[in-house]
Amino acid sequence: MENQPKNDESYTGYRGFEMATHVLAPWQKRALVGVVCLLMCALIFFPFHTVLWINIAVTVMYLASTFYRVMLIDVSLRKSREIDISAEELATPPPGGWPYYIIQVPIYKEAAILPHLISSLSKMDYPEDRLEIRLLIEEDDNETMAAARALRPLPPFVIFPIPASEPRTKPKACNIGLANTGHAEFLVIYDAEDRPETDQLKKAALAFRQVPDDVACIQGKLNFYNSGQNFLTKCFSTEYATWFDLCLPGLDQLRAPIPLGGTSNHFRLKALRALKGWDEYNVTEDCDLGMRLFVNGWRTRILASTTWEQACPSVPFWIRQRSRWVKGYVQTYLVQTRHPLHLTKKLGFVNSLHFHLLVGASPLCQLVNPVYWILTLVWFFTRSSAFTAFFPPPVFVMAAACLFIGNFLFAYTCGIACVRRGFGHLAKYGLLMPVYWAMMSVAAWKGCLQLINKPHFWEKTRHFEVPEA
Amino acid sequence: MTDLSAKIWYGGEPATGAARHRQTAMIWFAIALGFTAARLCLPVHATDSALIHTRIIEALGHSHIWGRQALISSLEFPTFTTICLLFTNQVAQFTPFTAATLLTALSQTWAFCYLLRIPQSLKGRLITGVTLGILGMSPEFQTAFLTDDPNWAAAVPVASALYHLVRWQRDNSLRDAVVLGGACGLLVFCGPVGLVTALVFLLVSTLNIRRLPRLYDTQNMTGVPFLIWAPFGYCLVLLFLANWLIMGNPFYPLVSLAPALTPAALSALPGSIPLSLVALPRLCVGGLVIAFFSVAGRRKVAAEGVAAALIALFALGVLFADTPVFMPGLHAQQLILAVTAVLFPSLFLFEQYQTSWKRHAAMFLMAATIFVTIAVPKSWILPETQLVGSPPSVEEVISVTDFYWRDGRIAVFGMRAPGVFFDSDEKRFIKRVDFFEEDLKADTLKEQLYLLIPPDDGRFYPPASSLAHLHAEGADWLLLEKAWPSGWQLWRGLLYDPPATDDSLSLPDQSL
Repeated sequence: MENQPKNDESYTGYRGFEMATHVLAPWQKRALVGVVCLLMCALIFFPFHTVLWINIAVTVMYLASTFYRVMLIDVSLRKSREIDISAEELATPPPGGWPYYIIQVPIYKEAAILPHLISSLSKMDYPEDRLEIRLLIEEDDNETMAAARALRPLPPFVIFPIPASEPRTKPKACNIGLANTGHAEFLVIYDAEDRPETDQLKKAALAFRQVPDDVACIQGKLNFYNSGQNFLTKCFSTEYATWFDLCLPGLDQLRAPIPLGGTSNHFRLKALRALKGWDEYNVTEDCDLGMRLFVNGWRTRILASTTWEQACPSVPFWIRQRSRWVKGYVQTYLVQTRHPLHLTKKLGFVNSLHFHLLVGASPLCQLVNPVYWILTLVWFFTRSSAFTAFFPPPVFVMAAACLFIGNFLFAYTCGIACVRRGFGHLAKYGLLMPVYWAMMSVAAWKGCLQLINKPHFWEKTRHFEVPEA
Repeated sequence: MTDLSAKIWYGGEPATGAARHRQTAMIWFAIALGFTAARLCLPVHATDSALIHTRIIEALGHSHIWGRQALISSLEFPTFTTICLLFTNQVAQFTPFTAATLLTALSQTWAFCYLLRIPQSLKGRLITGVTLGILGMSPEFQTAFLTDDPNWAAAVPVASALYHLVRWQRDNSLRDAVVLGGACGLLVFCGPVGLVTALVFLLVSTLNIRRLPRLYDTQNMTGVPFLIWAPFGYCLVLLFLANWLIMGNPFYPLVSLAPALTPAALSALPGSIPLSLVALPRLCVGGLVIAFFSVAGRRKVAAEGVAAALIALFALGVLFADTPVFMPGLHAQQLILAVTAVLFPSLFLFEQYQTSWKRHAAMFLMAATIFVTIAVPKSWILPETQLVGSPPSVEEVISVTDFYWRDGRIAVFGMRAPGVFFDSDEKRFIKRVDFFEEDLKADTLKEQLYLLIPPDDGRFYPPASSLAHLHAEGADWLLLEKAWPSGWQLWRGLLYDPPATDDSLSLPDQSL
């Protein structure tokens, strides 16, 4: 809606908005070098005070994150603002009939999953003459293309070839799909393994009729149909329940910017076109788009309808997927803060805090966590007094609160989320989340290191054969 | 909110609905402020409990080992109370009030605001307010209310648990189940009375989980018992972990409970029961009757919780009337529970009792209870238990030690004696919660140490403990310097061999 600020150092991409084609803007590079140099000098000349102040800063960040999480969960539990469409409402088409809808499903090297995909999307309860389901398949992905053609999908399914080009990312395919959307009013992205609730399109269409015109996106909830497969999928389901059933509704309630989930985001096409689509160089283009929507005056709401996905049951593949997410969050943070004053002006103080705590502090906490866990273990086993000087009483109180209360609260909220989601049997796994957090930290480090040498590399999520849920 | 401020805060879009919330919050803030101000203007009497807790936070401020030990090891001086006092102390420094006074006033305000918020209608809240005002004329209510006892802090989680239990039934919200669990978790750190209250609430809720309405924000009740028990379990583990880290024994707090459960202590029960019955607030009896009356109603789970908790606290008060470890927060928690029970008819009068005879019966019961409570003469009420008795003065003790060893330090053990003989620099008094004779013996080799032993009356240390043995028998490495008629004894360590150059008598005076 509004133009980006003019800046000589702008990395405005060819799509007309700040893109992640480069990791850092020139001023960010200079600032980073300056901070590193300053820190090195401080460590050489004032080692004690430097470590002390770093410790204080990290402790305050932890405490702020803990308070923020508790506040978000509390708001979410107090009163839900998510859009819930009743069965009675669904029975009546909106005035003017059901709007024209496009489903985009980017597929890359996923031939095996195609029959399941077509089967689950065929069940969608929506008038076929108002629906187009696009299978976005890379032209040179011969295997998937051949499998898709062999299935001979009938309308509303359409095979939509994506010309082979770089970057080979999901948002690039989505952008190409977006360029030819004709008279459609709404568009939704699903992943290949998604099983949305059959009435989700109708619910979203009705929801768009209920909300103001500035609502550009309605985010469906995500969770997993194979949550009980193993320890990893149980923890993953717990985490998703926390994010989609507590955190996002909390953000919705607070009218805060919402980082979109990877799939099931239903868009008002005119808004998506106005924003010129996704950043194809950002590996979490959904998070970036969520922020850009808010900065440009559009809003996102949460819909009480679930899309069931497949939780990655393998640790190595899970780490790959998670490393991409962390890398993408850091990319988004760096891209959005290229003009920090402009961002703060557009978001306001409160929403800026949301942005920094959600998109900035989350990956940072995951990176710093192992350092503090190791320190805690060393202290437990050695009871060394060497740490005492770095934890003067007020810092000690904050650090102890984060360790003993903060960690429990984070784990406990996962249990609450499970109960709310209807996965009460998984609630106890909330208390085992520290094991999962350790894996998240491994992935965070992998993602951050990859940001240096392979910033646009898309760690593709592998989908496994699982028994039917 | 103006456009400019909305732009600064929210980037242009004012948060709709925020104005109404701000208005409601402001009204409650004004009520709380008025209540706190009124409470702070009333005359109060100090307690030994406030003294000890204040000493603990002072010791923490001076990084004394005793401070850390006392913070987590004693059920008689509970952790939650000390931590609340510690935080209140940061604010109290800027006010004319002591931290204990401020904490008591704030806790009472917070707890009574919870009670006021239980009724949904304005009429119900007005009746609650008026009833509380009338109850304020009761001598028992006044005695419990106007005591500067920081253990009132425990009334907040109790009131919170009650409030959310009632709301759980009314609104069926998951949040209420979660906060109930959290409040019960906090009660773990509120001493044995808090522990018992939490257990009662949790058991009643869990046993009734099938009868409670389903939560609207979840499909079934699977996992809800886990959610309400998890904070309690975690807090217990945390208590044991802290004791393992600081005291070297995870179950150290239970040590202070053991003497109350010995055959000797239990044999004293018949004598203490009538005394406890006299001391028991009539308010609780009335509350109990009303709670039972309410059990038949739609609020039966909340009523059962209150009734069960009142019975449990009544039993504690009767069985362990002479055991101070069961006293912290007892009156405050009894009062909150009894007041809630008495208020049941007014809280639910307009929602619950549809038939007129039940409404009249409820009103009659409520009026009768309030009348009986107010009509009790003040002389019937027992004076507050003295925690520390009549110890010798600090100057008196120091004058004895200084007669021969001007710089001799005096070791004091436990919770109460170190609270009385508090020395912020530990120049004259050194203190520990736990007593190990061998450790003290080793220390007496390094410096001239004295040992101050309080009377063996069960208030300062367990009856059959090492200190009790020393009090009765002494030891070959100790010499009794002075014995006060109140039972206090000062012993001098005999093992210290001063270096040839040491000239203690020539050292300058190091008085406190």
